Amino acid sequence: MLPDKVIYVYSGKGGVGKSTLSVNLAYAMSLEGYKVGLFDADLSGSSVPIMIGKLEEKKPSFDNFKIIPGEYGGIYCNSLGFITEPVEGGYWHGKYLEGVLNQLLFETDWNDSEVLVIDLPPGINEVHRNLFSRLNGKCIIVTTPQDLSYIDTIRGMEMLNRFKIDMIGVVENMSHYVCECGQVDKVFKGDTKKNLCEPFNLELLLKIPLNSKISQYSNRGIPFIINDTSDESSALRELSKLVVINYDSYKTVRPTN
Amino acid sequence: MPIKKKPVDETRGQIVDPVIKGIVDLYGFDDSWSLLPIIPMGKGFIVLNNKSETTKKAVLSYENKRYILKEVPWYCSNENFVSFMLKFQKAAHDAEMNLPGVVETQEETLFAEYSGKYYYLQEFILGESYNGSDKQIHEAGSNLGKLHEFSKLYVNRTDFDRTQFRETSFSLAKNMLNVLNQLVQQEEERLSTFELRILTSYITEATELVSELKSKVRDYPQLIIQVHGDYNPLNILYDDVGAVKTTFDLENTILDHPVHDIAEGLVDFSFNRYKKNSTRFKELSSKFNTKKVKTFIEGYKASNKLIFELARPHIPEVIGTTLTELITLGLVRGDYDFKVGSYALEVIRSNVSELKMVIEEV
Repeated sequence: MLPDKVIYVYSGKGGVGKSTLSVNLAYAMSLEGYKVGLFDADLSGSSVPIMIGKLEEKKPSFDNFKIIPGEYGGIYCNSLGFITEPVEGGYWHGKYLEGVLNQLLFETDWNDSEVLVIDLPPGINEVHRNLFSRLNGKCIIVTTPQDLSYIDTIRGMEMLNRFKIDMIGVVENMSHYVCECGQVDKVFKGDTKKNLCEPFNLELLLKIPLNSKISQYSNRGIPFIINDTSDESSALRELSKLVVINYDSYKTVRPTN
Repeated sequence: MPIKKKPVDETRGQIVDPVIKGIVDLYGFDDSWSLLPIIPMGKGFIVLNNKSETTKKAVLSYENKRYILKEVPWYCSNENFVSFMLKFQKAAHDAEMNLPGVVETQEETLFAEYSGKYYYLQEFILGESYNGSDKQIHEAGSNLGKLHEFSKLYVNRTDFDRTQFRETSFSLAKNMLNVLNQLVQQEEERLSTFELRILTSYITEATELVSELKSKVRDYPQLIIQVHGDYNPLNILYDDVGAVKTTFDLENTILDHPVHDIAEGLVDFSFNRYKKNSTRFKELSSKFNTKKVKTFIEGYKASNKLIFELARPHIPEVIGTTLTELITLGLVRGDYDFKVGSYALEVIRSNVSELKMVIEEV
């Protein structure tokens, strides 16, 4: 059974931190007491197994051709990356895509999960079309403060509107860098609020700084939220709670121009 | 013999959706069929069709049953052969041998022709993969003995042109050496003098060895059955206590002496080493595992002592020939480094000589 609450994490551009946010959002929800499932929909470039691999309690298993999610640090997770070798490239389309999504997501057992976080691949492709046409949910947009990311992401947000997927708001990742001396440096100069939030009537939910600790945790297979007590982690935990509580209130918005 | 060149695969090993749709229409499936791209294998999973393999296949689910759809591979894609192969598989399945049932099309044919290619649909059987246990090896030998007994009766009662599908381990080994020779000639400019010298010398000496082994085999063609032709651990699935649940992949089936499968089984179960979930070879072994040889033969003898005794005198020479064929295949596919050609024949000769004693004692 699929959980009632489905939260997509999306960006039009690759490399902006979708998987990092998906993983840490899922564990933030878990830390707040929710039963959480995490599905890695990036079938051609799964990152989630690397980011949570050290938390393994139980690997995904097979039951009557369904892939039962594994358990990783208290949350249920399914990813093609647990099944294929990292070097095997995915080539998913048509009935093959439909079939693999059935086995990993739609026809499997998510136990008592209340919320399912879905880490989407970047861009606009058949995975998005297949998921959005079969599974309603609410979407968090991730971007870096760069024009290049805005252009790709706006294109994707228009796709979300066409599929009537409600958007929750925008998370700006790699927002700034805080030097050891305390100086704050905006590595990228874009204005996310003006370029992405305002045209879609969306709230800028969170700004996450560029922080080497985050990637170090990810590379070690442990989400940073589990051990980190910084302000950013507290803010992410707060956001995760609000997203679940206010889930039903997020409604499809239309671009203002 | 003319050599068929493997065509370029533009579908990355997949039978594409429109083709599957066209084929399942011929079987009378409505649109409720779906694909199962991930299947269990041993304790893990494999993703079918994720990369190009010789045999394209897809696992389908339809009305709560599971099927495997296979495209007949390029090297045996002709109507007569497909019919020869599937009639045997169906008859063996109907006689409760461990082979998957073949599904008939709406036209009651055992295969479908679609867009110039041949496809067949068979039941999908879940099972455990090979783990190297004595029990599995014994059961594989025993299963082969039973299959050969069935095949002996089947061939006797079946009316087909016996010359058309007649091959021997010796002719197959020479064909494979021809393929390697052709490849070496094609790549002559790219190969170094050293590589060229080793490979041409291997081809010449291996061809002589096959002729020599053939000359030592007397009374070989007396018993002709339809052999499996590729009786290796990856073409068998087991239940959880090690008994054979199913044998599949008959694309190399021919009419030959049962020693063909016995020798191939012995090479594949007690000599060859495979890469994970693949028919590609790992590095060349130096010696047969004589314990596994004995276990496989004891299994075979337990179910078919009569045929084993007929085969026994020929086994070492046919093993030498099969080893030559498979080492040559390894060189053709690039599983083995060309340097293997410099010592492979010594490996073959020493093993043939050692196995003579082992096989006499079993």
